[in-house]
Amino acid sequence: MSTAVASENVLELDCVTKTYGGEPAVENLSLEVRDGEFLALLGPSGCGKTTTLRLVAGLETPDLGEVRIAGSSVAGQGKTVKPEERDVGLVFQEFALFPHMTVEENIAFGLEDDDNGRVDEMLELVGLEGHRDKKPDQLSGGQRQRVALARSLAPEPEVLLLDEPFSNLDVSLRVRMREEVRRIVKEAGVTTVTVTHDQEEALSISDRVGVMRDGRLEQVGRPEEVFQTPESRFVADFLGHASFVSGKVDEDGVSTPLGKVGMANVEGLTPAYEGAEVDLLVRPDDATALPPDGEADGRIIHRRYDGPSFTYRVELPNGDTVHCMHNHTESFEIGDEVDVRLELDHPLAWYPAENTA
Amino acid sequence: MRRGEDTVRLPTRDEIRKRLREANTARAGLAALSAVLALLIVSPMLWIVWEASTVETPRAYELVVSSQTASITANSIALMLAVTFFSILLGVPLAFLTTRTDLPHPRFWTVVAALPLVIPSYIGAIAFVSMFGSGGEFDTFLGVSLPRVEGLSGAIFVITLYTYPYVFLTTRAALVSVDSSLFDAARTLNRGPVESFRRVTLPTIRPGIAAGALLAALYAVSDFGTPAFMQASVFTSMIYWEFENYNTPVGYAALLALQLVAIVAVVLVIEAGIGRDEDASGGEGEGSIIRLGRWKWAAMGFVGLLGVVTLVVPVAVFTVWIFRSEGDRIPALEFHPEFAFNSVYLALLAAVVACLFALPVAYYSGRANSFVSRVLERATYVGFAVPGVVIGLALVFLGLNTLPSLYRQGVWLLVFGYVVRFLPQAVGTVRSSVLQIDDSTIEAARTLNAGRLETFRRVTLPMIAPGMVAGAILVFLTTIKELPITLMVRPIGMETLVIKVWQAHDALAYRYAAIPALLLILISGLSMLVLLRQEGGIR
Repeated sequence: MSTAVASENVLELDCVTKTYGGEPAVENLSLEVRDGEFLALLGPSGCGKTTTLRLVAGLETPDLGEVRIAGSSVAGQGKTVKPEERDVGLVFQEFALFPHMTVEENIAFGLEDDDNGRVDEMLELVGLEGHRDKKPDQLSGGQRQRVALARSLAPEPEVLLLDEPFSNLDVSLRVRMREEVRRIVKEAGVTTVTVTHDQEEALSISDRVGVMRDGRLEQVGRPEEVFQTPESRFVADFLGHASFVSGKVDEDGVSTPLGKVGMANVEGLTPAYEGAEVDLLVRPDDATALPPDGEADGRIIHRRYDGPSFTYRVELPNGDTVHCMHNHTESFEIGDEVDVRLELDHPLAWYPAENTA
Repeated sequence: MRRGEDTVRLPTRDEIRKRLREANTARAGLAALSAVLALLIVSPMLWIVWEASTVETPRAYELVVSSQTASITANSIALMLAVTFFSILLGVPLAFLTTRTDLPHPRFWTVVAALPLVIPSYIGAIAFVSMFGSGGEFDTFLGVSLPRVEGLSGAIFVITLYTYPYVFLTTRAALVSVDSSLFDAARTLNRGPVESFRRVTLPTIRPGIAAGALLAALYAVSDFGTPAFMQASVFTSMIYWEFENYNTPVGYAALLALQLVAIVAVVLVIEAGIGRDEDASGGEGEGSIIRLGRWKWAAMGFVGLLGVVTLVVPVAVFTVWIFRSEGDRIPALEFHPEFAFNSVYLALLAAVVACLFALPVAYYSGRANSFVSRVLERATYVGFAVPGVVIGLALVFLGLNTLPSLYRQGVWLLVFGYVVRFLPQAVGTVRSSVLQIDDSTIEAARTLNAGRLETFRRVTLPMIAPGMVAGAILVFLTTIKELPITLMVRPIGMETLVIKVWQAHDALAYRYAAIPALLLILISGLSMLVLLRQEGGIR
């Protein structure tokens, strides 16, 4: 999109706080979502992501802060706009289709005076033209999700919210529906916020990912940005497959049990940190296990085979473990001594060392 | 089989044939026994039909279209419709209040709102009629003359107070099972709260409301004690008065009874037509609840007031009477522990006999899912549909015409009446525990070399025992409160708690109703506890 409108924020949350019985569910959360953008809120259960969604939809009222949709305030500053007046669509986790209505009636529910043209358009968009007279209990899980999506999109909301949209589907269906939902949403051009605890889903479906923890937003950014340079250990851990290798900063890089990592290969590290103990984030694809050349770096303590690849867990003498991913032809046995080589094709993220007893 | 044998000996073909033959004979025997019992249970109804048919046709026609019959019919239908209407009016908002709002202590208020169900409405009726009826304690309150609680409107008032919990409980169950995110979904689709409720929540809970409303309608049209105490001319009270006034009952009572059964049948047909709608998804959506704000005080006040009127007022009225002694003493009405003993004795007999009847019928229908077994099971449900006063009248005909040696001469005819009326409860609980027995459980016992009878004794019976105990308790607790059959068929000289309540009202000496009524309320409270335990408590 190249118009001036494109860069406008459609949804803005400004220092929003919501507490339940003194416990903050969402704390001081600020977030901006641009027009047409697909944003995923990612976090473990209980991190406040669903509450955030309900605050935007108007099903909850924030204690503090402000929510703005398309530039106008819908919550905060002492006033609250009701859900039905917000121009927000919400696809529920269990889809919440009305069981006593047909597919067509469900989709038409949010429309003024049964706009049949719009219903047809929506049925076509989600590919359910042949199912308009069925009741929800005659549909498969994937079809129900399409109906829920079409129903929410029909009134042309400013913002579409998806609450754990794939958690009710079979695993085999999930990946396909992810792509399908992204296609539909992009085709409709609607600004979308989805909520999930599945990092793979968040990374693959969205334009930007926001990682939440304990009611706070830890980091927001493009999926590859968040994955490669997580701003905190929590984010690194939650996005998965994180190993940490400890080392010490000296004048030209970090000395680790796996050898020296040059200053340029560590994200944002400068000689000013010289002498500091740090942990480098190493993901399985960053490390390779090799037959030892002289004294080995470590020993294989675990091996996982998942078809296309092996992942070995190597224990280093200092107690750190590193995961190494290999294609399926190479093989080591548990207990083998190996060297570990870091494949530094991108700068590694680092964190101040954690003092573990 | 010899012990110590290493290999399992397979049964020979002859042995298999023999076992199959045994199985068939056993099943046929069970079917025959069920059929005999079912016939026995239905037989009283045949007497009513027989007695009604003895009335000459022109006379019968005259009676049926008489203005008296017309007014009784109108009153009965008015009673039924009004009670149903007001029960919905009370029950649905209360169900909503306890499930979808932030009302404090929802469990407590749920119990308060459900509790009136266990008090027989005639107990409430006698309390209200003595206080607010003509010649009652209160004509005016603070100088304002109160509306009299009597007649048809009084019966509507009292029966509603004690039957709305049917609607409350079924609606509540429906509301709890409906995914509350449906309501939220409607809100995000640009619909206001009122429209969302009307278009989404209401249609999904309608089957629940209907189920409760039909129970309330059935109760209202079958209830004998309340209209009788309120002097309202409806079918039940008129059937009894016909029976009382002529001593030897005439066909008119039988005709009225048949008309009453016809009305009940219509209600049951409507119920079957509505059916059980099971498409409410059991989602535990954490959906939004309505904040009552200051209204919560009004809401709690309303439920509290209802609790005071239905529960506290009767108990208080009876308690006050215990300590008051005005008017002439009537020695025959003085409380005697023997009354309570008689009540317990009769109820125990009914419970035991009902269980014995229920076992073969429930076992047969639970194990053999055939058309015959279903028909036989349904036949034992006659007591659900037929009002007590009709069963009482049928037994009077049976006793007078056929079995004079049993009529009012011993407890067996009365116990049989109780069994006819309350057998469905026992069949229901026993059958549901029979259904829990897996075929493979019984087969497992057979492969472990237990014979057919041994399997029944050691495996089947212990598994259905809880169902039988629950059924027995239910029959016991409902029998002890039963009024019309007791009144019409009890052996001469056998006084029970409910008989004393009835006689106290008859003599307008209400204070003598106090102790029996309080005991009945206590017993009813116990039945609530049993029911709650059975259903695993109110969630």
